[in-house]
Amino acid sequence: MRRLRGLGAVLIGHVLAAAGVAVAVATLAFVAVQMAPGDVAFRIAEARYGERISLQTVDQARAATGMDQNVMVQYLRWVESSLTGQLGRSMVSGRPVMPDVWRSFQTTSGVAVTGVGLALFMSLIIGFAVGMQQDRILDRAFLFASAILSSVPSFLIGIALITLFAITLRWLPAAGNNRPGYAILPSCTLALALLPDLSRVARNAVVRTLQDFYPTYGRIKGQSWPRIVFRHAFRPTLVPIVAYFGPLVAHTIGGLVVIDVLFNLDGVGTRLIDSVLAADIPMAMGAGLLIGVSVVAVNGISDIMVQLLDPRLSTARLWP
Amino acid sequence: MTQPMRASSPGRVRRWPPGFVSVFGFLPLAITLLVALFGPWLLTTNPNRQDLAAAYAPPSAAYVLGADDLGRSIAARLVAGARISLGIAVVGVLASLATGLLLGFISAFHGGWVRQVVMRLSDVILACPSLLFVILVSGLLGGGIGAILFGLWMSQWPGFARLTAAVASKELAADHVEASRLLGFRPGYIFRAHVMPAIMPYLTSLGALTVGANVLTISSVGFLGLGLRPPDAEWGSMIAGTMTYFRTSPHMVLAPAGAILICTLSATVIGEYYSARHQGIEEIA
Repeated sequence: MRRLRGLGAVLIGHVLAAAGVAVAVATLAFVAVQMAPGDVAFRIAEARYGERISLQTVDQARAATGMDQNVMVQYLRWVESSLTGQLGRSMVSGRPVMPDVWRSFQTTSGVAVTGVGLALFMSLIIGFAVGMQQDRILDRAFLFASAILSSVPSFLIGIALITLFAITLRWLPAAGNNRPGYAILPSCTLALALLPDLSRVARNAVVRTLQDFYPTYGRIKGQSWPRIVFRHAFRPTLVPIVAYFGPLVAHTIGGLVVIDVLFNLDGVGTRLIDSVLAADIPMAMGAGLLIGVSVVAVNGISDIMVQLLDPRLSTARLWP
Repeated sequence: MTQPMRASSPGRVRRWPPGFVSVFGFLPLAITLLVALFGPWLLTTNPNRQDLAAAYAPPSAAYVLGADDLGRSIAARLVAGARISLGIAVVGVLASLATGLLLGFISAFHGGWVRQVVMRLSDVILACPSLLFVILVSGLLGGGIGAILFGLWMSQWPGFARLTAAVASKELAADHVEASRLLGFRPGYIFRAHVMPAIMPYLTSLGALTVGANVLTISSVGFLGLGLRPPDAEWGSMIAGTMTYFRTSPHMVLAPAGAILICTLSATVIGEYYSARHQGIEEIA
C-alpha cells in the first residue's frame, strides 16, 4: 500500500511537471520569436511566397497570422489554444500543425525506439561481459575503445555507415523515408552514438553490483557464477541503467536532430530546425512541445521503473 | 539515494601509465589551443583562397593536407577553424564555469528558496540536450559565433552549478568551516579558502569533459549549417561541405574529422584522469 502511494505521488509529480514543461516551452518559444531580429511577418511572407515580395504582401501575411495585434493578446490566444490542444495552423503552409508534427514524430520515434533498443541490448551484453572481467585486458580495451567512439561526432558515424552500406555495397537506401529499410542505417547510427556512454554505465553497474556482499555470499554458498549473475545480480544492475534514461533521452534527441538532417528524414528534428529558421511559431512550438513532453514522459517512466526495480528507493521526487 | 554506503566506487583506482595524461591529454589540447590563438597570424595561405586547378588535390608539398572541392588549402582552413571549433568550446566552458560557480556557491551558502530555484531551474535545463539549445538560439539570433556561445553557456552552467552546490554544501557543513564562519570571515573568504580547494579537481574534470562535448556540439551545429556564414571555415561545416566526395577523396573529410577527434579525445583523457583520481565524482555531478 505504501509502495502504491509512493508511485501515485511520483505519477502526479510527473503529470504536473509535464504541464509545467508544456507551458514553459510555449512561453519560451513565444518570447524567443518575439525577440528575434527582423520582421517576423517578413520572414513568414518570404518562406511562403519566395524572395521577391512587396510590402503589401508582408502586411497581408501580418494580418492573416494575427501578428498585427497586441503582443499580450497574441500570447494569451496562443496559451489558450495550446492548452485546449489546438496547436493552430502553420504560418508558412497554412495547414494544421498537429498532423504534420505527429507524422514526423512517428518517423522519429520509430528510429529512436529501434536505435535505443539496439543500444540497450548491446550495452547489457557488453556491460556483463566486460564488468565481470574488471581491470583485466578486455575491460581496459573496452574503456579505451569507448573513449574513442564517444569522441566521434554522430554525423561521422552516419557518413561512414552510408559510405559503406549505401554507396559501396548498395544494400540499403542512403536517404529519405519512403523506401523499405530506410530506418536501418539511422537506427544503427543512433545506437552507435549512444553505445559508448550507455555501455560504460552498464559496465560500472555490473562492477558495483558484484562488489556488494551477496555475490561473495553466493560464492561461499557454492552457487555458480551464471546463477549469481542472472538470478541475483541482474535486477540491481538494471537500476543505474534505468536511472540513466534521463540523460539518455537528451543524448538521443541531440543525435536525432543530426540524423534527421544527415539521412534527410522528415523527423521532428528537421521540422524543428526548418520552422525555427522560417520563424513559423506554431510549428516550432508544436515540435518543441512534443519533444519536451516526451523528455518528461521518459523521465517519469524511468523514475517509476527504478522504484519498481528497487523498492528501497521510494522517495518521491516531484520533479523530473 | 538511500542505498547502503559503499566502501568505494567501481574498482580500484586505475593506475595510469606515467606521463600518459601529459602526452595524450594536455599536450595535444595545448598545441591546438595555441594554434587557435596564434594560427591566423602564422598562415601563409588565405584559407578562403580558391585555386580551382588544385581542387581535390591529395596531400602534397604545396598542400600539406590536400585541397578541398574548391581548391582551398585544407590545412589553412583547419587552422582558421580552430578558433571557432576549439576556441568557442573553451570560452563557453569558462563562461558556464564562472556562472555555475557563482550560482552554485550562493545557493549552497544561502540554502532555502534560493537553492530550490537554482536547482529546479538546473534540472529543467539539464533535461534538454545542449545541441537543441544551440540550434534554437542560433536559429533565432540568425546564427553566428555569439549565438553558439550563448546557447552553450545557457545550457551548461547548470551542470557546474549543481556540482558546486553539492561539494560546497558538504564543505560548509564541516566543523572548520563552521568555525571560520563563527569567527566572522566573509562568504568570499570562506569560498576562497575552504570551498575552492575542495572543488577544484571536480571542476577540472567536468570542465575538461565539457570542452570535449562542446567540440562535438559545435561541429554538429556547423554540420547542420547553422553555425557560420559559408566562406568561413569550421571543422563541422568542412565535413558537411565535402562528405559527398568521401569515397573519391577521403582526405577532405578525414582531416577535419581527425582534428575533432584529437580535441575531444584529449579533453576526455584529462577529464577521466581527474575523475579517476577523485573517486565518486559521477555521483555528485
